[in-house]
Amino acid sequence: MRQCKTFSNVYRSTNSVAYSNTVEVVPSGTRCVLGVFCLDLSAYSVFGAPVSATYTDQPRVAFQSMDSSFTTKFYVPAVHFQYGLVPPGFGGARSGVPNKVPGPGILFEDGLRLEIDIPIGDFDPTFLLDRSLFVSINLIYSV
Amino acid sequence: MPVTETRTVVSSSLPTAFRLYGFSVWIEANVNGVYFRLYDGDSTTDVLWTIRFQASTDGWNNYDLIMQDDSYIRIDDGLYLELEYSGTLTENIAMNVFY
Repeated sequence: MRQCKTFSNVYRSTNSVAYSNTVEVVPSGTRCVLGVFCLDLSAYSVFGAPVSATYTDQPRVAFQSMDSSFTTKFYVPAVHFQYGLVPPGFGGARSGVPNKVPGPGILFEDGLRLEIDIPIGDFDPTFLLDRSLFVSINLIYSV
Repeated sequence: MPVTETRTVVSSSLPTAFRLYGFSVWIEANVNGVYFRLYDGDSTTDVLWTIRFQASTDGWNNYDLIMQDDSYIRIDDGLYLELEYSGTLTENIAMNVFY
């Protein structure tokens, strides 16, 4: 049996400023195996959503090695399932599922960090609320 | 201002130390942005799992995590939950813990 650790936090853009940052999960020089990753997207309220359904307007997270060039292993977008039910917003119900990596998991030989980009969202103007988007990131990994 | 409720043990029938293989949770929410957090212990600042539930009108959200067959999370100091929200939350939680 494999004993695992978790990483958990919520990151957000604000009403006027996008969020773009990197977060170290496992330090350089340490091997880890990623078993589960879960990115949940929610808006400030259910009247909010990304500004459009195009890929570049969705929050996304790059899973990177901690080597000198921070090699990206893969990207994962955080998406709403029902964008623009009442345009431009009303897509804001939380969505996301735990993604279980098949087999033993994804090996990161030299640490693990996340590069997180969360754009400013949009909202239904009828309700004039807030454009913030929130991404909950939960990981399960072993070292 | 957001309200952070006192951290409470998920169930007094759970042992303090155990192998966590997964959980499922249903939460009634009537306000936007309810943070549901799990912790190993009542004082650690390291969050085990976070879910930001969403609502506008009263409704239920659900979520589940089942570990891979060969994996578990070691709980040493008891499994605790914490809620944070703004406004007045109508609060009901149903939770299963697999251990």
